[in-house]
Amino acid sequence: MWRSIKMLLALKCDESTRLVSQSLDQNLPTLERWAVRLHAISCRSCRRFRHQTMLIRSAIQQRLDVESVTDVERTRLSDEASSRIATAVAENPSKDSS
Amino acid sequence: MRNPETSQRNTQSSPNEWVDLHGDALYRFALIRVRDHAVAEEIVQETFLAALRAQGTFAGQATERTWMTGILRNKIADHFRKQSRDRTTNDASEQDELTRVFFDKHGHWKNKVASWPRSTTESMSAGDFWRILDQCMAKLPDGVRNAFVLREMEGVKTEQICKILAITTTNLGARLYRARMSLRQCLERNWFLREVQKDEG
Repeated sequence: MWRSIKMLLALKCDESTRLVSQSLDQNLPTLERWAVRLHAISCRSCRRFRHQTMLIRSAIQQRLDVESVTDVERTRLSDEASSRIATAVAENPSKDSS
Repeated sequence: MRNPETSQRNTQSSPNEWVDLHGDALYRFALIRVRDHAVAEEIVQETFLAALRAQGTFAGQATERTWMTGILRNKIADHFRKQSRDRTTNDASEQDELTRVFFDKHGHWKNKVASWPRSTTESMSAGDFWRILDQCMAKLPDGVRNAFVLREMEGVKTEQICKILAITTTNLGARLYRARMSLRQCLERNWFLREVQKDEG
């Protein structure tokens, strides 16, 4: 009981950020969720931390979307690697389990 | 789930065309996730060899590219699994160390979290930003980065990541926390606030 009240009213920034990170991977228990919300009301840094962390997440998603549609980065296998891999494929004809 | 689906064919091509058809795309897919050219090349080769052995399983419902990307994903997870076995996991003391870097002894931020100007958040889709993101990701320890890649790029559920990396939920939480704290700070220093200084200077 005392622990619950303490968490709700006296959550520190280090604990709050840990819970924010955790909330991106799983649903937080009710007490923790409210503790983070109450803390955020009075802590601008933790509000920003949450917002910015989610911004980074969506930027990464956006990047993967772009990457999947266009060859935006022009990264290619080197000729040397291409021919090495092609040789490896050619030398390993598909075998039935023998 | 995201796939480099540029090839739309549902028929199977001859293996000697694979490198030309899919090599670059698979390589890019792998490189973003494993960050090492040699490792990415090796994983692409392993993918083709596994595809050769599994040719019979290609049902033609997916594109050939999608089918191969599925194999590639497993190979990347295998690589992370192997890497995880080869090194010691970060323990509680490292976690305390991280806390001391960012917070004072009362648990408050040592440096207040700055606001990121709208101009910098709007340009986050540009190539320059990706380069900085890459550099910031490169600074993370392998074990931390691999966990972050599985979670944020591959969208793997936490229980599954714990299995792949053979770590506890608590340890995974600590790694993801570390990745997020470090990445946020690194991006702030090298992108969000640097851009402002450039504008002002």
